[in-house]
Amino acid sequence: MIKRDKRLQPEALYHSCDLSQFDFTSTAEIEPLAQPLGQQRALEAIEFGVDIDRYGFNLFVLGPSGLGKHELVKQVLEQRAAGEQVGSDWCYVNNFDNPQKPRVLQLPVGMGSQLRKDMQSLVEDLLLSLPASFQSEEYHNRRQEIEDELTERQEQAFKKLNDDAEGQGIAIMRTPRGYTLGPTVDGKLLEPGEYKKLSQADRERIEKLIDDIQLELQAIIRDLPLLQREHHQRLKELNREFTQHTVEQLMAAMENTYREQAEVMTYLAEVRNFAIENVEAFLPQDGQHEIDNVSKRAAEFHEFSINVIVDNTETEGAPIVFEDNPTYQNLIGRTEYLAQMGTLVTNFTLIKSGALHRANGGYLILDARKVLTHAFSWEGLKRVLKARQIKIQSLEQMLSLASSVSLEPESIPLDVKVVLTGEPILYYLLKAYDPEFSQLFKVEADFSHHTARSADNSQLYARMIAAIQQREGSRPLDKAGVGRVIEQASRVADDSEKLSLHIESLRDLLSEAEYWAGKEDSAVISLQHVNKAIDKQLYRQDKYRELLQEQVVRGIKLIDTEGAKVAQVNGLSVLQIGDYMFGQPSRITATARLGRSGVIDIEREAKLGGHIHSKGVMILSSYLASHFAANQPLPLSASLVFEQSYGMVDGDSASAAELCVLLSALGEIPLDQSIAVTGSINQLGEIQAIGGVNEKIEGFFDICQMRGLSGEQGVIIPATNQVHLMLREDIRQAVVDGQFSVYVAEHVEDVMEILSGQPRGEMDADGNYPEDSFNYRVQQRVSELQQLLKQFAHSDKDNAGTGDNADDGDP
Amino acid sequence: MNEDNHQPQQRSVILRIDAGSFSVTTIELAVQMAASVHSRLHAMFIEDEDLLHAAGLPCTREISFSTARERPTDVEQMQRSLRSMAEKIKKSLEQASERSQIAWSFDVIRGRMRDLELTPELDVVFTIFDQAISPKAPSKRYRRTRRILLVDNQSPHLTHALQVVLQNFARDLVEVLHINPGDQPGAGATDDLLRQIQQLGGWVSVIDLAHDQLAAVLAESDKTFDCAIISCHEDTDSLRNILKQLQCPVILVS
Repeated sequence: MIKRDKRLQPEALYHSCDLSQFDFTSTAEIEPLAQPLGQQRALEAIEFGVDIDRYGFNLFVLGPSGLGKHELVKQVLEQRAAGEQVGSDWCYVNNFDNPQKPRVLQLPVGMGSQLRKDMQSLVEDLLLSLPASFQSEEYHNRRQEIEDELTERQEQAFKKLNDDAEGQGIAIMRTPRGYTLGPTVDGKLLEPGEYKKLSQADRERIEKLIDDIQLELQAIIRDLPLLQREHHQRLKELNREFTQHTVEQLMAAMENTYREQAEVMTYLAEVRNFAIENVEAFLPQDGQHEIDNVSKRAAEFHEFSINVIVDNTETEGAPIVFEDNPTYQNLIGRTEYLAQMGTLVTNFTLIKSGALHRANGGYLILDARKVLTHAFSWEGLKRVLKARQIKIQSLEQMLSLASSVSLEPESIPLDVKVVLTGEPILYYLLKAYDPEFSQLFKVEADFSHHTARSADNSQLYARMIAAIQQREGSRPLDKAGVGRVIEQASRVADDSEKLSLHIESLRDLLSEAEYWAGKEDSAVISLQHVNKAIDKQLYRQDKYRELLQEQVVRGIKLIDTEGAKVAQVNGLSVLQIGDYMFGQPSRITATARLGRSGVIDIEREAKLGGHIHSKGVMILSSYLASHFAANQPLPLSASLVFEQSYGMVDGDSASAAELCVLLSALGEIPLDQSIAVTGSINQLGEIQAIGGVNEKIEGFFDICQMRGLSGEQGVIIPATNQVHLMLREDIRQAVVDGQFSVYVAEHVEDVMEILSGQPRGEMDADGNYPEDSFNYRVQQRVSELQQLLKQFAHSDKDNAGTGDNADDGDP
Repeated sequence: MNEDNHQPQQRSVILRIDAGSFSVTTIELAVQMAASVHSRLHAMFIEDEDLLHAAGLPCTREISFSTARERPTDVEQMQRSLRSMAEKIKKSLEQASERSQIAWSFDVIRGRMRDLELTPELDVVFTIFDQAISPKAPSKRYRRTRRILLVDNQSPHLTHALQVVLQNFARDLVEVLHINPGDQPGAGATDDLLRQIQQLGGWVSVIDLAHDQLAAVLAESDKTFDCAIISCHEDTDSLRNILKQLQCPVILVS
């Protein structure tokens, strides 16, 4: 009688999809859904975040993975970006004054690559024209004049000195290392013997002459570098004159093309000056008459290169960039190095753009987890967003890990909307612990996990299925197939009144159903294909569930599914491996005796119980005390344990079962072992909803079915969990056949009535329960314990008078 | 090839170098000359007696060409310096000959350049004197004008000598002052060659002068030469006078 009242009817165990609401035979007939289903709040937030043009209004799109966050963001951004102005081209060019600090040019779209081509052409033209200019007749003659003049001045100076010296009887002779001077007579050098024979006066005269000539000779030699310098200067001026003429001629057309671009004009002026000052580089190499392979030589002139780091020529509308590997370098950009002669060298042509460069003027989508897990990416991103400019700074330099000379490229002004996508935990952690986060990501777009399973939403869900099938190029689903997919969406949502919005799971299911339909060469995906896809998914993941159930059936893990026992109950727990959850029964036992320790949670004592589980045990202790010992102490030492549990136990979904087994232990009330219990309780004994209700029921059912259904077996669940039921077909059939039952309970006394088969009984005016009730038996036992405690208290008092020590713990 | 294993040859080219005139360019030129006429090259380094005498004088000192600093010197120091230079010349010769595969020999003799016999032996095709005070390195980037003094006296090997010199100056503009034998232009041994070269391109220009204008040319202060090719049919005094006034490599053609 008690059980029958609480037993659920088969139709309450599953929310079937009403196929009559669909007026199509297959999804091919319905309009695919363009907008995401059930994400209106997130959609509005994204549209707002994208639209508002204020500092810090970047977006964080949060929600578990698989909800289609990225797709929706991309869809909204693409719609918006299409109507926006295309970003600029960005180039790094040589800083001729300080090559370590390359300059940046912002150019209209397409002009970056044009400038690069023009500069390549310019270098090639210079390589062809400058040598020709320097081989002209005019240049040749003028250079010859300068060189002849130098030679003449040098030779004249030596010749004059030589003639003067000769006239005075002094010979100037070349030695291997310089010059030597010696006296002559009749043009012949005096030999040492002859010199000795000269008078002192003659020798002094000769020495004086040699001294004078030596001074003149030294003066001439010292002047030679000055002459050379003057000569070099004059040649340089001549070169400059010819170079300037050629360079200006060649650059005139370019300057006309870029006259509207002030930065480019400044750059071109620097190019002109540099080319004029460094004309030697454009002339043939040593031993060559002409420059061979001009294109190859032109490539060596990196000073004149244009490093187009962002080329938006092919971009339509504002750029949208998704960086799926947001390392620091991939975000901010980097400077690469080349190994030359054992050292690392770099220049501005080795600057590589980052995602922020490419997204400048548009949108950048990043995965928050990846940004946070790549070293320095998050800090780098914040620094750039705060500064509103991109400064490429290598990590090696930042961390002082490299001592090689690096570049300090000019910063690039940044105008970008960053969209981070990530799990809610990341959003809330950042919100709590990173003060800069709230300044930089002011817009939160929160994706819903579920939506209501209304008739309208079921229609929309069908259209969403149609959209996925169309996008994937898959077969359409027939009506029954759609209905089954909708039912599965409720099962995934763990709620018969909700639909899961986990697009990835849906897409996987549809892909697998498509696969099985393909195997049968079916034109449409029907109910059987969807069922097969679901069954096969489960089967692939089911190994550990089977192993655990096998242990129970073989009697290795002790679970009774029939009979009645005192102080023993079947609790239900959920195990999760990856994203697969399954339920399994657990034996919970209790002991109760006189004492003062209260209820001991053995899981907690063994440090195998989580905080929530401990809380549940404390709540049931409180219920016990308030319910049965409101005016007197509860002299109880009880213990609770999950038998054969060797891992962590957490959650409070077993607290109802734990209270029941404790009451059983106290009142020595046998509990029905063919029924398992799940549900948490509050201090008032009310049963509260728990998670994984479907898996828990299925877990116990599977054990019972393997042992043979007796018709007595079933599961007690919280009444509030009834809406979550989306049970398997075989369980529903067993219920229909009266082989299995699902009971709902609102209070722990409901559970006790079902498990003990005894009524709860109503408390009379004196606070006593009727004798046939389970409450009476518990109350009586508590009363006995209190009496025993009093006896021990008197005994302690007497012992204290005789000097015996009182026991602080159990009597 | 080297001086030890060269084959005996009928003809030879003689290169005379002294301490004041060594240049690698001249050695290269001499090697090319020898190769062009299939002769062996005999190089002579002349240890100038005057330098050794001067080094022995108490009033003598050496002035560095690079720094203009005065250095004391003596005979031993000068001898070491000359030996070192001779070694350097020999090494340069060895390298240049190796490339051109010619037979060569090298001697060091003591004497004076100006006192050496100018009339060559019968088997000598060319005698080359390096007389440059400070030889000009050929410019590798810019074309410049090279001036060649060609005293043509119908020596049979003048053409060879001119061909080799022109080949050396191939990337420059060349101005040949062609001193004709006698008073009549067009009577020299190289006339045909010069005409042919002029027809090929405009890089060689020829100024024909009569022989009696030679003295005036040499006296002109602005006329410096990059090379001189002189027929040894000139009389010895005339030759010595020419050599004295030239500051460039001189090829005396037999």
